[in-house]
Amino acid sequence: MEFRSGWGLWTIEGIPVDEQIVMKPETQTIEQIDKEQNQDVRAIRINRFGWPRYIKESGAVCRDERKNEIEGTLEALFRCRDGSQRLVVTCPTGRVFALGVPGEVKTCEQSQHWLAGGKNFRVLART
Amino acid sequence: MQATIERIEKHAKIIQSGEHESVRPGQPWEFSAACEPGDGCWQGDLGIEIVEAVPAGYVEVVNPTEDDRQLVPGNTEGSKHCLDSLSGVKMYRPEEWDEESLRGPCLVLTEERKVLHPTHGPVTVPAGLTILCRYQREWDKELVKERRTRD
Repeated sequence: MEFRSGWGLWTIEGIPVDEQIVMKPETQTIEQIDKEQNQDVRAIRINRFGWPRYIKESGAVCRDERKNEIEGTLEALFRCRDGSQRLVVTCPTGRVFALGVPGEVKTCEQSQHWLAGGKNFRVLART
Repeated sequence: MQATIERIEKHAKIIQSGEHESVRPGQPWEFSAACEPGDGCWQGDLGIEIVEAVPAGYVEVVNPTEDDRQLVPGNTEGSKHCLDSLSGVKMYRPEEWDEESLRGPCLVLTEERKVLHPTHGPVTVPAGLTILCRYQREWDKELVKERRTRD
């Protein structure tokens, strides 16, 4: 949003951010992201930067990985430097998702259990 | 960890290109007659579980409308998990149902129905089954909610 006076405001989902995050998110550095104190903005920064790239470049540690035989997909659980965790999964649509899971989760299986609301049915397929 | 991520990204590209041996984008799937309560599948982030009966705390949706075909609340493309038709469907919902719920509609089917989605493969559910919709938890949303409560 820009006013006639030249003053402007950049926001994503109602959260004020800067121009770089909106227009050139790929130019952010890991240091910029990790120094971000506002957690809402930090989340936006990483989403715009791309979780797989952030995990690759930030030194996140892989805690567990597996081939999900039922769903025919690959998944891996990463712990980031700030202690947050992401389950990175392929989806049957061919996309990669990095799903947040709590810190106490230690394996891909536990991550899936948490994501399913702690109530696991017998998963026969995923489309 | 770089190698792991790269393997995952490569795997996703193989799926995307249609070259994966068993996973195809948009591939349909159907519950067989042998499926029983406790069996289920995921269509993206919508879990479809066969149940014995409508859970306690659910109320019938009387005269459901076309809007009720959508099984996930919200206006995003991702939330467009929709029944192909309401014919042969008795629909129940939790008394309180919103974007924070982990359980959604429960459907008693007297006719075969399909759950459709713009990007995920359709799921066919045979007549005679009762299915319960479940939603994937979202850690990021839970963190935002926690922060808002703290503020």
